[in-house]
Amino acid sequence: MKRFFSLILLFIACELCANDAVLRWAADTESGAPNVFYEDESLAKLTGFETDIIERIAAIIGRKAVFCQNDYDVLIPGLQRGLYDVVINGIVTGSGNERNILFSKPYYACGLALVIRSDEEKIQSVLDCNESTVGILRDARSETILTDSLKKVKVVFYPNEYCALSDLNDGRVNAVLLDWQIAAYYVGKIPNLKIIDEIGESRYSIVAPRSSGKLIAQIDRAIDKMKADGSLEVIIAKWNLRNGHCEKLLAGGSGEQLADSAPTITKPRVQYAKILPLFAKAAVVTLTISILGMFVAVVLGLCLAIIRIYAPKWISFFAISIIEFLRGTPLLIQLFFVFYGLPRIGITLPPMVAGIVTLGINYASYEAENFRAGMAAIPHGQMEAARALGMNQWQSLRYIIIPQAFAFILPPLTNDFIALLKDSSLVSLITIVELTKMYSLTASNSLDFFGTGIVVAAIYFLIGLPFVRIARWAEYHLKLEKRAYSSRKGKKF
Amino acid sequence: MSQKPQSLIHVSNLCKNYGENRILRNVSFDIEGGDLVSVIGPSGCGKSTLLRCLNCLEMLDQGEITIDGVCLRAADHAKDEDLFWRLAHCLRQNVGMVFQEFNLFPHKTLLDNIVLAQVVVKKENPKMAQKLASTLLEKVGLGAFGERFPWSLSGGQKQRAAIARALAMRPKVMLYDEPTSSLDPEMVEEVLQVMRDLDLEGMTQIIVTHEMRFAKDASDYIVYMENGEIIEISDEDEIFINPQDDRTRRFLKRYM
Repeated sequence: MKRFFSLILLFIACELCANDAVLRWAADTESGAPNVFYEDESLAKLTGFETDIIERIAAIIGRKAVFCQNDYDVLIPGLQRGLYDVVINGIVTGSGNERNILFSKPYYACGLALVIRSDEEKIQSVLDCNESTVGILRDARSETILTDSLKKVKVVFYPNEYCALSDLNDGRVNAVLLDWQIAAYYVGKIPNLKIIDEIGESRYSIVAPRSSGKLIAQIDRAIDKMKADGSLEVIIAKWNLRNGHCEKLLAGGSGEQLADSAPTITKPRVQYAKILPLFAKAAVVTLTISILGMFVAVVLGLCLAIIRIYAPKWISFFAISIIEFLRGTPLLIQLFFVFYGLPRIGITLPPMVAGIVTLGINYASYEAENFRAGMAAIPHGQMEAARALGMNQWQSLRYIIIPQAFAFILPPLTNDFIALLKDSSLVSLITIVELTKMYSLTASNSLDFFGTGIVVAAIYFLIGLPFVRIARWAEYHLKLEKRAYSSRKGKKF
Repeated sequence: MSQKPQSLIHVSNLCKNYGENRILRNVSFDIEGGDLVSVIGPSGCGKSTLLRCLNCLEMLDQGEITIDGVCLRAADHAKDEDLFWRLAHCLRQNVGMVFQEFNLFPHKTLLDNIVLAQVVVKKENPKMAQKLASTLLEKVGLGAFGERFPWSLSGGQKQRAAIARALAMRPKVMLYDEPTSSLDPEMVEEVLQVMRDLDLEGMTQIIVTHEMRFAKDASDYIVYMENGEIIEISDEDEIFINPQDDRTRRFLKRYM
């Protein structure tokens, strides 16, 4: 238990260390290549051309770069929530909600690339894609370009480029339209693919919250300096990401050619021994959230059940409304609301706390109903006997009704714990790296969703198993007949 | 005190309704300390409800109950609910109750059944409570069963344990709601014997029962109720030999 608490403290500490000496930057490393990703599946070292750029910028402005993982979809909300100072993750200059964020000067530019199979003959340019199926990423630009110019195109959205490109390879889509630099990186790695067309241009900026004008000015100066001394070009060249758009952007800097040896990225064989410690750490996070979440759920659920049964009508009605509302709304929405919504009214919870609280109150509604059923199952005479002995209502509940009800509801309680353990995967969406997130991180890095998937499923299963056993054991010992039986074991009836 | 000495239990004009259904109609009686009173009557006559009212398990609608100086008036409930329930709590301290269905706590051993309320309600030292519990179990003939759970006992044993549990609160009055009705015939006697023993020790007891023989032999008074009213209160021999009321005669004919 101690370790769980220290882990939470660590998360809280992370929240608090928002001092000036560090530059907290965020990106999504999941399918992050070649922007920001881990070198191998041990997730030990970050790499990627944006990693190189931000580290250089941090060095120039005299801060220490500290990386924060967050899901791509919620990078900007996290920024506004103050989880980190800047985001650098292929954010297109001027995109999104400009009123709330500031964009730096662009540090890179490229177009959208159309990728097809090498043996594809029908499609030679974007215009040929009418009447075909084209895969794109969750990116409004590609969709607009495609649907505006081509009326009969069928667009398929993919969560990440690897899924899109491997589906292309498997023939499920005819072409994929995505950022050139990503296409350039992957085309060498996945066989039988080629880039045939490039359209449009987008420039990438670092973004910061509206209030960070000073910081953005510093970053702008740093980018200018990197253009001038050629270090930006070196980084881009190192990653083999040079293109016409980018040359234009860099024009003005020195044209010095300092091409490092391009990093050789070959698909490594997955070494499970290397990822197991990571999964162990992630499993501790999952367990912490689940156990504390269940604790909150049981305590709160019991309170709600007692209020619902015994409180005056209007308070009990209030409890019923809470239960019904919590049961009737999706957990994911509650999670986003608590984490990204509540800061609006001044309640900013650290990710771990937000996760535990949300899972806890969501499951409290189910536990309240469990407890209510359990308490209703206790014969009325038990309460009467307790009252007749002079106990007040609370004492009767505390010593007579609840202990008996608890034995009744242990099986559904165990069920709910297993369900909560699995639902805890949702907290990966509020920046917590637990088992599920670790799975997608490592798998999207090693491109091995199969083997890693089996490993992570096994871990979930193994985590749940002891709790099922404990519950069985407790059930056995709380069941009164069983207890009476066990005390008679060996005697003849 | 210049007041005339009051009887231990004084009930006057007690009324209890379930909606339109009048369960108790103006029930009044007095019981002196040390008496053993049997309440008999046909099913649904209100005798169980009367008993439960005496212990505030049922709310009284009209009238008043005084037990050992604690006076509970139905009218007070409307005036000051809080005060009423505090008084009810005081009143309960002097009253022990035994149920037809025993209502032992199934998740606790016999000893713990008896210790719990002492510790929780009377803030008794657990060691002392344990000691009293053992003594009481010994008294009802269950000395060897302290560590057993209720499930493993016979009906008669359970009911004796329930009596011991009620006695642990040192009540001045014991109420029994059909204590032998769910027992096998051969177990009835062991429970009745415990009540006879208590009578000899001077305990005031009110028993709602269908055991006419026991009522006849053991009780000081017999109360006959029908239709929510007390029809007849009399000396035990009197009512069996020469019932004053036709209704009593008809009822007893079926039993004797």
